[in-house]
Amino acid sequence: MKINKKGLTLGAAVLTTAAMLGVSMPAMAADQVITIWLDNQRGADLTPGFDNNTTVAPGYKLVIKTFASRDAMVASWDKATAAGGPDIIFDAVSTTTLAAKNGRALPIVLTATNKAELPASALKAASYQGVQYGIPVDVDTTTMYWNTKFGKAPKTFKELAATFAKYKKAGKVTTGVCAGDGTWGALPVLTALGGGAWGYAADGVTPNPSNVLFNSAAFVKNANDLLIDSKTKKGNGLFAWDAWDGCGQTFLKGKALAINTGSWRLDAIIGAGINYTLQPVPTIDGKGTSHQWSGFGAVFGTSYAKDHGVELGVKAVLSYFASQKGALAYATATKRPPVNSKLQSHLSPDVAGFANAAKTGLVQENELLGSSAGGANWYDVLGSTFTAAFTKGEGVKASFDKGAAILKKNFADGMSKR
Amino acid sequence: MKRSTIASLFKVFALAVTSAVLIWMVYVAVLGSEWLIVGTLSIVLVLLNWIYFSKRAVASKFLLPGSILLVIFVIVPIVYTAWMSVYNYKTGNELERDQAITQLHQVGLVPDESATNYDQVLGKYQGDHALLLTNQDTHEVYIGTKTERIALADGTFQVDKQLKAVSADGFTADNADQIAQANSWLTTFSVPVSDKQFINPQGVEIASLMREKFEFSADGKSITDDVTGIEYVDNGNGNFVAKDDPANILYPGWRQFNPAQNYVGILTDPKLSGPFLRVFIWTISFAFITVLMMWALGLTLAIAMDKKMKGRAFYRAILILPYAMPSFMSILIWGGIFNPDYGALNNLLNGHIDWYNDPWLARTMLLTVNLWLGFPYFYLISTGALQALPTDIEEAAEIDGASNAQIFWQIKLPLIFQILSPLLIASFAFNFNNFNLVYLLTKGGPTDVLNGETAGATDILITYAYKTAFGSNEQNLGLACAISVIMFVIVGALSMWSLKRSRVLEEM
Repeated sequence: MKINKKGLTLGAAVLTTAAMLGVSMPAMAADQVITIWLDNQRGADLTPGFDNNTTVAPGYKLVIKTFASRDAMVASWDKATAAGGPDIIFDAVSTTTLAAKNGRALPIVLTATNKAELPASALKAASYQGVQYGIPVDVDTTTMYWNTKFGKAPKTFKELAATFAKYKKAGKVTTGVCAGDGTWGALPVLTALGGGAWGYAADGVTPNPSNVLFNSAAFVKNANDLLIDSKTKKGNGLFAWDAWDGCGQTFLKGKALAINTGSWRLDAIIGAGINYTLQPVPTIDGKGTSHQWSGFGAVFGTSYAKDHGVELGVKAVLSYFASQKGALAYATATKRPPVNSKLQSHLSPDVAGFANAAKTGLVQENELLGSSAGGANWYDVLGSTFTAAFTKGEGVKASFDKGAAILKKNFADGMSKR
Repeated sequence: MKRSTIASLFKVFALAVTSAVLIWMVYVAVLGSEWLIVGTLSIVLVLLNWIYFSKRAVASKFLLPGSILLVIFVIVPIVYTAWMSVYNYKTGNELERDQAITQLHQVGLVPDESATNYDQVLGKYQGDHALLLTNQDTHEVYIGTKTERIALADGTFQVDKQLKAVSADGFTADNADQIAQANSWLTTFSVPVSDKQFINPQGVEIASLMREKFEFSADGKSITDDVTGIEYVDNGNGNFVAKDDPANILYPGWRQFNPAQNYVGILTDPKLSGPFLRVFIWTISFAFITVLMMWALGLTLAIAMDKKMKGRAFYRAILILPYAMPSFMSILIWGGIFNPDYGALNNLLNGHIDWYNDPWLARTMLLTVNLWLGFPYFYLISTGALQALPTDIEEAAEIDGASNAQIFWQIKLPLIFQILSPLLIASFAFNFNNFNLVYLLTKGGPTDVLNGETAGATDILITYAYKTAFGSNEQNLGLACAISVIMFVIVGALSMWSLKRSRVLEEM
């Protein structure tokens, strides 16, 4: 058979292409691999125990992909398709419900044991329109780290204010209590001073959207007395809300008395050489307790697991993290307080401290906090209100009244979608 | 070996690598059911091989790479953005209709009220896949097939210590290897119990009694929830909504073609039209003032440096430095300088000027930083323009007795303006879309939320579009696309004008 030059070239091209594909295709044939996406913090914690794990879901290998930040992970998840998308994601529970709304989460059925061990409020938070999608794995909540360099933690907010005044005058501190997670982490200071978000119905669980506590008379009085500089009419520095990159760094430098943040900052605070105790932000007179938002971290399977042929493996992984064994492994690795309260005795003192803090947490109702029916959501309203009252000096009452008017509309709208 | 042979081998190798990458991309696109991308890549694959193996398509060999990149990075995004702007593409409405219906079928499959779970053993019965099921509460044992649930009598099966059936007459349990491969059949396996009840595997060891709560009408236009009795109807805008309460929406929804919705919304919805107009005015003002200031400073410095002086080369190098530094670094450094609490500027002034929270101060800050970033460019082009001016005109004017000011204002400046006007227009278009500066410095703020504002004082159209699309958990991509299309039209018109003006100048 006579082969001309053109035929030879074409043959060579086809063979080389096939060889190239031969090299690349087996690497893509990931039919029994379950890909898990994690942010930098959970990724660093879970990689040692779970990357390349083949025992959690027999017949499947877990492959962990860690992103540089949570924002990077969420941005990638927004753009993900079945081709490169994950099978499982760990993140705040809102990511689960959002994925469910978008039809990108895998519905699951819980066993009676799982249901018995996990609180109903946590399970509800990981469900959408009555269907369960996620397994709640940790409680995202905060507590107050008090820098013991400034003595013992105060028992009342008034005592805290006095300590701040003393050290500020001595030039030792610039900030009193820092909301280390921005406006999300500011609730303990609001509730400590008699304010907050919303009241509750008689059952103590259902939010009462018409009872907005944001501008309560008690809060306005206490804020005027303790947070405002009488000369400038602006904030006196006792309360700062510019988050981890702002007052958080001040705390690490030892220039703030306390920071309100979660277990996810534990390593950084220990690393900065700060000695601390954990306790809630004290109330004005030491009676009762302040409250902080208590959200949940959850793990869910994506709809892509079906496309990847690993749906059963994904369900096995979710089932593992719903079990006591899996929940304990997760809590130990991440140092995050677990949702399953039966694990308390197995936890390290710090994690147990956060688990205790979670008991005073208010359920983070995302429908209410995220609603912007009044013009802006809870987080943006808080930022603007704090700026108006404490930075611009436009008056606590006037600023918080304006904020409350917006929040009232938001809460009513959120309740209708809850 | 001959040079031509080496070249041929290199060509074959390069094409093979490119083809392999393209085939791999096609494979990935097929997995994602991205058929438009599959088609485009396939055409590129065929074209690429045809053109480079053909002796007839010599010109195309040079044009093809650039043309492909033009299509991928310019044409496709423009077309796709315009296309998406006529859909209600937002959070909860991201899927195609068929995909959303499939998801709703899955969502409608809920655990039965009895919450019955079964321990499950995978295997075969009468040659077909089957499940050996043990009711966890009553310990009744069944064999489940695709067509029926068969109750087993005592003595026909064996149980373990937990009373879970492990084997049964006629049932062959799968081995570990078979279980590992069960995903291929188990995920679609379902044992019918009654008209609306099924036993569905929830893994390899457990199954649950499920029921289908949604009843879909034959024409696909409505869904009835038989638990709540609510009838959901297609609202024509990408969702099933409760017939009696349109605010009660079932998710996921789908992307619905609705050509006017986003554009009309920008003009008529007070929540959108108010901020849009304000942002639009500021965008035009920002771009215009920026270009004017940069040009004025750049030209002034160029004139100053046009004179012979000691150390001119050094000064010229210094003036170009801000241009040589990556702009994002400069912006972040300036952000620190303007920080009200710790910034160098307030420290120098020994005051507390709140640059970020006052709208006019924030705008001033933005313009100042942009002036710093942009004046070296205008200095460079003005220097070039000055040097390109014919000297005989200036000499003639001097002989005619014109003063230096007259020479500058009446001769040089109009000539420079003629030379630079296309660049000024291009710079205007660039600053019209100067996302990096605004987002890195002020994020569009301050936003007077308490007084009902939803757009920031320094937001320009592109940051406003970005916030609309990605600013919160709930994204409205369709609306952001519509805003982008409007921006494209404005910038496109400016560019056309610029091109036209360039041609006019060439003819002068």
